[in-house]
Amino acid sequence: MTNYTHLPFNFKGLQDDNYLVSNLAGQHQHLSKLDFENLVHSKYDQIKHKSLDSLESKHFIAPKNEAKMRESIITSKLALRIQSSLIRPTLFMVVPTLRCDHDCHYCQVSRVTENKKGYDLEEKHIAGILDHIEFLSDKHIKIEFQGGEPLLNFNFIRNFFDTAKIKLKGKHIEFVIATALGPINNEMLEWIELNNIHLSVSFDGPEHIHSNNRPSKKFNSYENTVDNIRLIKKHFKGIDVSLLSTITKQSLKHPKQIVDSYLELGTKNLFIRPLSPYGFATDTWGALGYSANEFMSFYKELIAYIQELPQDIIEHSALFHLNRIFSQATSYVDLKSPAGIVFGAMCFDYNGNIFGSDESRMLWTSTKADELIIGHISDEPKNTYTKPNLIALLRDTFVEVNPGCNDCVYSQFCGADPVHHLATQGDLIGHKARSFFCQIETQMFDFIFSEYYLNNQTRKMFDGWLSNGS
Amino acid sequence: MDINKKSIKINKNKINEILLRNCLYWVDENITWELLESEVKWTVNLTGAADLVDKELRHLNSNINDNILRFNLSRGSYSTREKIIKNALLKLATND
Repeated sequence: MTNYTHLPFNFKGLQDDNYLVSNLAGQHQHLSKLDFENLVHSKYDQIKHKSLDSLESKHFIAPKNEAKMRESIITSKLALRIQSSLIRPTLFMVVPTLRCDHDCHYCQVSRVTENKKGYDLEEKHIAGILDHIEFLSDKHIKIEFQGGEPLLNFNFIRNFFDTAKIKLKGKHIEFVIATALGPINNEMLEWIELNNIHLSVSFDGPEHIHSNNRPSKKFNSYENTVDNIRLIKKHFKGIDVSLLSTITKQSLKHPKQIVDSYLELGTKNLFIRPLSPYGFATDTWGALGYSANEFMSFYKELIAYIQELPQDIIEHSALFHLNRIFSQATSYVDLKSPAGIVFGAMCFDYNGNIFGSDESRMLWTSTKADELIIGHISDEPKNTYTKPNLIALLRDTFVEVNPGCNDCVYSQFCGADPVHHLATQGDLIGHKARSFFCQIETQMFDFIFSEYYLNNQTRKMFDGWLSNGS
Repeated sequence: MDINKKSIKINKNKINEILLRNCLYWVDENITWELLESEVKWTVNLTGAADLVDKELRHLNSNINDNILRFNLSRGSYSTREKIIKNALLKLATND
């Protein structure tokens, strides 16, 4: 029998006496309780051969005479993983206006009413924004118009698009408009289809939830959204529409109805996200908010229902987590270490302020904490991204050494969310036992790992998502 | 609401204070805890709503067991973990 030794790893007990181990190389291994106990007590000869081989190949154990060499391999793999997080931003959010025709109770950016003056991004700033994007970006980027309701400043979007096509010629750009479809009309839709622009539509499910979460003084918001989605699917088939649901306390009792409402619109791609504690949501948390346990009960029921249905439905929040676990993807900004501030996303606000993430913009809107502002559109790009406040935001976001994360089995897949912790606890690292972000992510990983390794039917579904949906 | 107080006693040769405080980090914020020390034992008192105290007591017990295991496992290899992280960061800094 080979004379093995342990290499460093974290561990956690899953349900039914199963264990998960993970290490700094980004590897994980699922073990029975017996194999886990044999591993920790160094009874290597009693571990199942298949598990033992896997533990060795994934650098959880090593022959004693190879331990130093294996440590070097883990070091290189960790360095590579960090490097892959330190990428140029690929998502650039532009806020043409903070005006909105909806009055969503949980609005995270504290929008203003439709006719209010002084809340539009002026077209004179387009060149400046594009200078920053050109300076920061690689070849493949996504530019997403956010709001308020961005379509209320449609001329800006058109001019921005036309100028970007010239100025960023040579880059592969995907354009997205994040909208609730209030002001949409045929002229807009023709232009959107012609220019291959995607629509990301807020849709919270059945009427009694959607219209309650997203009321409008102008129209029945559910009917408006649903009618427009149907119109697009019938007459503008070239437009790619994706739907996104924010879950409130009222949604928690209706996971099946939410899935059904997607299917009624002919959409098999769900994106379910919990409420974020920014903007108006901070004030309305008591009425709309919930615990991580309540959210996960809802979410598990939703996934179970998806499995019962004959259609091949994908839930993209789970898919982001699966991609992070199995291919160490760093495209989902929430699951990045170091955090995805600038290294992932950038946000150009209606007033010319530049933020390192949409969450920073949301927090600034309600707190006016100027430390969150990285710069201004009129600043020279080369002088903007080395400022001390940006470094301060990023400095403590390497989760592998954060208190509460350093011995967590999910730290290899999870991310830091300094702005969430600043918003909820006034501290960039945050006390993880009190952190809604940590509670949600821990339970999400618990669920995904347990389902993947202990439920064959779910594993088959997850594998299908990984091979088709990423 | 029923308020309850429950205790855990642990031999000091099983777990040190730092590890025990690491476990207490995860106790629910609605529970009050106190850590007492005698010559041979640690005593942790948990006070709060009865059902929550029971739940947190189980959670804390499990956490203490995991931390004892983690400590025994990592004698030697915990410093290895730190070394790997430091070297990975140095490697990146050198590459830049």
